[in-house]
Amino acid sequence: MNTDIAIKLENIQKTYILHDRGNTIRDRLFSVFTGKASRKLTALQNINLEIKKGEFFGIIGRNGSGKSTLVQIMNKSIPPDRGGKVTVNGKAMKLALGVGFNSELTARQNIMLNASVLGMSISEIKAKMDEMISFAELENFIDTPVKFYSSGMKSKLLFSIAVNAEADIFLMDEFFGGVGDKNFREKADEVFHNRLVKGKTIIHVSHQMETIKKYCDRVMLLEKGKVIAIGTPKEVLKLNAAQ
Amino acid sequence: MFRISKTFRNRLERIYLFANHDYYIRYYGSKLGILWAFLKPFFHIMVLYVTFTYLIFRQRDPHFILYLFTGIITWQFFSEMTNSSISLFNKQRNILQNSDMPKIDLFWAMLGSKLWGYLINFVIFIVFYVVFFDPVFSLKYFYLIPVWLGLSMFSLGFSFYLATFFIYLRDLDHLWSIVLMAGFWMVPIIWDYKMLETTYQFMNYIPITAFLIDIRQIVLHNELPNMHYMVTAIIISFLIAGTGYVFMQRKSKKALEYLL
Repeated sequence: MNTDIAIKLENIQKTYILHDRGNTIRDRLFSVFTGKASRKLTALQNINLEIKKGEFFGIIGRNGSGKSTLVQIMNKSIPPDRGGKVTVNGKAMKLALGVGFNSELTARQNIMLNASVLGMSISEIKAKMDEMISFAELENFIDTPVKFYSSGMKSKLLFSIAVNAEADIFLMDEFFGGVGDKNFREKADEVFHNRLVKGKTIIHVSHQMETIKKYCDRVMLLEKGKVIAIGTPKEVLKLNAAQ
Repeated sequence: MFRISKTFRNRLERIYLFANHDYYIRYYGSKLGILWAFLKPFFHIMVLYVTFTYLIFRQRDPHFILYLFTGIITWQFFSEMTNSSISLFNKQRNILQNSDMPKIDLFWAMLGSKLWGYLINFVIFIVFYVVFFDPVFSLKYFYLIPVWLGLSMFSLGFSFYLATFFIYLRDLDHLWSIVLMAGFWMVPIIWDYKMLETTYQFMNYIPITAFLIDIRQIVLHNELPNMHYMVTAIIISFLIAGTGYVFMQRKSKKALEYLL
C-alpha cells in the first residue's frame, strides 16, 4: 500500500441480519421447525475510499445513512461483507463521548483504565493524572464513583483522557462539540486543535456542519449507505444543504 | 539485554489494571473494603469447622473439613471464571467498540482476577491448616504449579466457548447455572474421590476431577499426583483452551453487531 495512505477501503459492503425472533435457547430451537425469521438490512454499499496521512476527513449524512457503521468498519470492530477490504496504515483509535466508563469505579480509577486502553503506560498515566483532572475541572470529585457524575462531567472527563491518547489515526464519532459549558468548550477547542489533531489523521463524523467546515480537508456525504459525494467542505456542504 | 517492547509492556499493564479493578470492584463501597477478601474464606472455613467438628457428623475424620474446603475453593474458581465469562463481551462492549484491545486480553484479566481470589482462599486454607492441624510441607507442593496451570487453561477454555455462545444465546447463564449445580455434585468435592479407584474410573480423565484429586493428594496426603491422569488432564485442558480460543476468534467477529 502507498505509504501516504492512512486508510484504504475497497468494495466495502455491509449487510446486517436482523432477527425478528429473540436470541434465547427457546427461540433457536423453535427456528429449527418454523424457519429463520430474519431480514437483511444493507447499511453500506460499494464504498471505495483512500484517506491520506495527516488528512482531516469528514463524514456527514442523515441518521441511518451508515456513518457510524463505516467508522466501526475502519476501526475493525465489525467486519465488512465478504469481498470488502480494509487497510489501515498505523494505529487507529476510535474516540466517542459518554462511553467506556465503569460507573462503580471512581473517576481516578476510570482514568487509569481508559487511558490504558488508549495506549498509555501506568507511569505515563500517573505523570499526567493531575493534568487530566485539572483539565476536566473535577479536582473535588476525582475520588467519587462516576455513577454520581452528570453527563457533562463524564464528557469533560472523557475528553480530558482522550486528548492524551496515542494513535496515528483518530476516528471520531460525534466526539467533538457539545462538551461542557462555554468556557470548557473554548478550552477544549484549543487543545483539540493544537494537541490532538496536529500531525494525525482524523476521520470526523458529525452533524455539526460548523466543525466540518472549520477543520475538514475533504468531506464525504453518505445517503442510505451510498456515497453521494466526496469533495471540499464547501462543495459537499452545498450539496448537502440542497438535498 | 532482553527488553520487552513498549507496546507489549503497555498490554501487560492494561491486563493488570483490568484484573486489578475486576477483583477490587466487588469490595468498593463496603466499610471493610478489601479485608473482606480475607474475611470471607476465613469465616467460610470456620463455619465448616464448627459444623463438622461440633454440630453434625461429629464422628467424621476432622480432616474432612480440609478435604471439603480445598474442593469448594477449587470449584468456586472454575465456577466464578465461567460465570463471569458469559457476560464478558456484553459488559465490555464499549471498550471493544472503541479500541483495538484484543479480546483475549479481557480473558487474561479475568483469569488474573479469579486466580488471585483463589490464591487468597488457598492462603487462608494453609493458615487454618497450620493452626488446627499438623501439615507436612514438602517439595511436592511444587506440583501444584502444573495442576493450577491446567486448571486455569481448563477454565479459560470453557470461558472462551461460553462468552461466544452467549452472543447468540442470551439465556445461556440460566442453563450454565444448572450445569454448575450438577457439576458440583458430580465431581469429588463432597464425596470421597477414592470411590473412583473401584468404579467410574473414566471420571479421572475429566480434567476438573483430576485436578481436584491432585490438589488433595499433594496438600492433604503429601503424595505425588497420579502422573498419568495429571498429564492427560493438562493436555486436555490445553486442547480445550486452544480450540476455545480459535472458536472465540472466529465466531465473535460479529459479536458487536449482536451486542449493540
